[in-house]
This record gives sequence, C-alpha cells and structure tokens, in this order.
Amino acid sequence: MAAIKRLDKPPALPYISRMLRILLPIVLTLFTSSTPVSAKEPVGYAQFKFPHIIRQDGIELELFPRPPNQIAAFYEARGFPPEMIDILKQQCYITVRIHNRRNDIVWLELDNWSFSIDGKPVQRSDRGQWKRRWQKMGTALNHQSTFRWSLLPETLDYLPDERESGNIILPRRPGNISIQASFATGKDKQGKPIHIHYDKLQCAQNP
Amino acid sequence: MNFHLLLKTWNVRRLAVSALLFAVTFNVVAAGIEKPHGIRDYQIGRAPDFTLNDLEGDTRKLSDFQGRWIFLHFWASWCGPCRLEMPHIQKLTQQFDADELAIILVNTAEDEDTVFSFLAEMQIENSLLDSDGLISEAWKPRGLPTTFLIDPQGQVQYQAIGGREWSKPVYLQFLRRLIDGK
Repeated sequence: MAAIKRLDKPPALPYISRMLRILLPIVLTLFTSSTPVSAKEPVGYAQFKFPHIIRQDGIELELFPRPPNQIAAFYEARGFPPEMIDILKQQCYITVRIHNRRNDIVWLELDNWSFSIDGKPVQRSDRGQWKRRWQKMGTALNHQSTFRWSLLPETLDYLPDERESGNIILPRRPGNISIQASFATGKDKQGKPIHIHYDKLQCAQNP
Repeated sequence: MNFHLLLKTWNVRRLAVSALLFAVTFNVVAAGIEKPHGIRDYQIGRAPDFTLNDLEGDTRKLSDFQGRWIFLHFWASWCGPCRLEMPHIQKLTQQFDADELAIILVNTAEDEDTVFSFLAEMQIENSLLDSDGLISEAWKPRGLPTTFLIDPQGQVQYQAIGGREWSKPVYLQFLRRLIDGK
C-alpha cells in the first residue's frame, strides 16, 4: 500500500521543473533589475555593491569600499569595544586585494600610493598612526593585533601568483576618490615600475 | 711539522670535510625536493622559540618539538582563506604520525571560546593560543594564514604562501619527501 502511495505521488522532477519555470524569471527579474537609488542616499557616497577590479600590466587590483555597518559588524564579532567601533565606523574603509599575475616580483609600498577626494589630496591612516591611537586609548593587545591583521601590509614583495589583501583607511568624505598606486617590479626593484590610476571610487554608505 | 700540530690540522681538516659533506648532502636533498605551488624557500635560520598555552591550558614550547619536521601554522577564525584551509589541515593530521610531523597551530589574538568552537566545527583537537597576537607578529607571516616548515634541527626551511590544499597529493608527497629526506 505504501508502495502504491509513493507511486501515486507526482514525479518530483517535472514538478521541480515546473516550479523553476515559474520562479526563475521572477528571481532573475528581481536580481537583474537596476537597484533604485535610495532617496536618502547622501551625494558623493557609493552604495555597497561589488568590488572594482583593475587589471593592468599583470597586476590585478581589487578595490572594495566597505560600508560602516559592515566594518562595525566585523569588529564587533571579534569583541572590539564600542569606543573602537565608533572610531572605525567614521572611516572610509577600502578592502584592497592584489594578485600578482606576473612572472616577477611586484612590490607593494603603500608610501608610494597617493589618494585624493574630489581632487583634494587626502592622507591614508597608516599602521603607526593607528598603533599610537590605540595605545593612547589603552586598547587591549589582542584587539590591536587583530586590527593590524585586517590592514593591508605597508610593504610586501608579491611573489608570482601571490594574492594578499587587507584594508586601507581614508578619511570618510563624500566625493570621488582617486587612487594612484605605484609598484616597483623585479627582485631588486629595478624592473619597469607600474603605475595604476583609478578614480571611479567612493566611500561606501550603509545600504 | 710536529706531530701534535699535524694531528690538530688533520682533525680540523676532518671536521671541515665532514661539515662540507653534511652541508652538500643537506643542500642536495633540499634542492632535490621539488616544491609544490605556493611553497617557497625561506631559510631564515633558527626558528625563533616561543612558549604558549594550548586549549587544554597546557604550556607548550616550540623547541620541545625539535627532532622532527614541524608544520607551524598561524591562523584566525575570521580569516576566509584560513577557514578554507583548515579542513585540509585536519586531513593532514590523519596522514602523518605526530612523531614524524608535528602539526602546530597558533591562533592569532582570539579568545578561547572562539577558537574552541571553530576547531570543534573543523574536528581539530587543539591549537596554541597567541592571546595577545605578539608571537604571531614576531614571526612576521606575510598574512593569515601562513605556514612555516621547520626541519628537525630547528631551522626554518620553507614558507607556504596563503592557504594551501594540504590534503592534495602534491603537498602530501612533498611533506613525505621532507620527512623521509628524499
């Protein structure tokens, strides 16, 4: 009897296929339609969407502006105290991923990068500045350490096919961010330098 | 030449020849082992020693593991590549006896509860806890995760760049050849 009951059930595959035919166009329409810009969106900030990917001279540079809530969530989950979170939420966070697709070494030296917002130069906050700030606040060492790990290294020799990522932190201001990233190449940095310019970036706002 | 001086010279020569033979043999062995993708030579000398507590509260010293190859792995549960790599390390623990390869995990700056629940999920029993993150930073990994391979004499020999699929045959064979010295 039980076997008969099972046979009486409609075959699963045609049912799933029918459902897919109904649901798929709806899902696709929802996800491919352009997201309307929120009326509350402040001018000069970007919606949290996808990373910007720049490929040039064998370097793949991925820039991903992070909204304050995402940054806060990450550090809150690591047990950071509210006073640290408050400070970090006020920054413009950009996650940078660099992939060296060349056959030689590519040198990341953040001192050789420059930033501007709407044409006005801005300074990146480096590790030393953050260290002093945290120390002054008496921040626990484990939080200082985790914070440092979340930053892009100040210097790193990217070996062929190496990928490393981390955050750079800029002052949070509206406007178009322009990044000029320069990389030395070769084992002794004597190779042809690579200069990447990108100016289609904005600090991310909360969705 | 007087006899004592001759003997002394002979001993010095013998010592020098032995040292040379050892160095040549070791280098041939090291050079002969083909490194898989993402593993680089990293001969920085003697592994800086450290003492840390593990999840059980026991104190462990890196140099206590000397005499076998050491797989020293720095990680954090929040790091994406670490999460991807950990199942491979779990499999690695089943592939090698502890007395031939010491797999030492060092968690960077997370609390015990976080480490415990993450490792339970990964079915890994233990990790050292670098609670303030200072040991990890002193070792200067390129990023997290990073693995160092230390030879039985306590010399750092290799560094793995980023997360590696350690349970893949190419890495298992590489580690096996290191252990067997072939």
